[in-house]
Amino acid sequence: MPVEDPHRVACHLDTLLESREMTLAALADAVGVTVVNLSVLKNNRAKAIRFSTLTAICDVLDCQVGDLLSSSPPQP
Amino acid sequence: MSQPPTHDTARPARDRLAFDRYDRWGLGALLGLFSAGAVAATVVAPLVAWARGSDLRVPFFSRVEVPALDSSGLRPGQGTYDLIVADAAPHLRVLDLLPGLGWLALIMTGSWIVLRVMGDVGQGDPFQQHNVRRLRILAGLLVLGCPVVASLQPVVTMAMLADLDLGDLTARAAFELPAFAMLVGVVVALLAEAFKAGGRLRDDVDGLV
Repeated sequence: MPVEDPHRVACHLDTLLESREMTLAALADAVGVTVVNLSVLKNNRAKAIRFSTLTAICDVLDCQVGDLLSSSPPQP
Repeated sequence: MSQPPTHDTARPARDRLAFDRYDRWGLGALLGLFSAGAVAATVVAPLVAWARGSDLRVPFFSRVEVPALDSSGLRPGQGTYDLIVADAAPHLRVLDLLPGLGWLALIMTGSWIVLRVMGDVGQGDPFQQHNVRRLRILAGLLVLGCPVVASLQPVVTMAMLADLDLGDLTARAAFELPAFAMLVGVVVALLAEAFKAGGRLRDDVDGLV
């Protein structure tokens, strides 16, 4: 798939935050990323994520990458 | 007893060479002064001279004959003549204005482009598509516009001389290729390509968390 095509990766940060009873601001403070950037991620508007950010989020939320991100199958 | 953690409260060193808003204002003032000077020299001064009825100066090249040098065996070549035209006709005054107007258009357009590009540089987001376009236009003005405007001068000079009686002199007007301006234009074109590559990198990190 060419890099320029839109992606089918969904972010489940809102579900994880709800289950951990944590606010976005608290997560941003713990991870060291701005609330604006985390909001971009939460609302599925991010185009790329650094591995360091991914690691930090998974450490704080005590989850795996697959809990945070998932890929939907292509439309027929 | 353990010491409490100390925090380095010193501010990070300010980058004194960073292009901030004061530099933008200074650049705007500098380009404004330069443009105002160009207006004064190329438009206001000739118009004032016209209003005062001052003589019109038309420089040209032609052969020089100096009998004293001929008799000593020396042969002079071309010389520059300054033809002083009193009570110049209006069409000569208008022709005299044309090269200056051409340079003025180049200077003001180029200044505006530089100011807009540096404005985005100061904002920290220079690698936008419109800046690539602006730099390419600036390069075109320098590489193509400058020689075109420079070629106006000899054309205008010959047009002015066509209406004047020069006796047995054959007039020629010099064309000076603005090589330095054209070289700067090539550099600006290369800079536009660098900005284009920067735009691709910018797109790569757009939306990066």
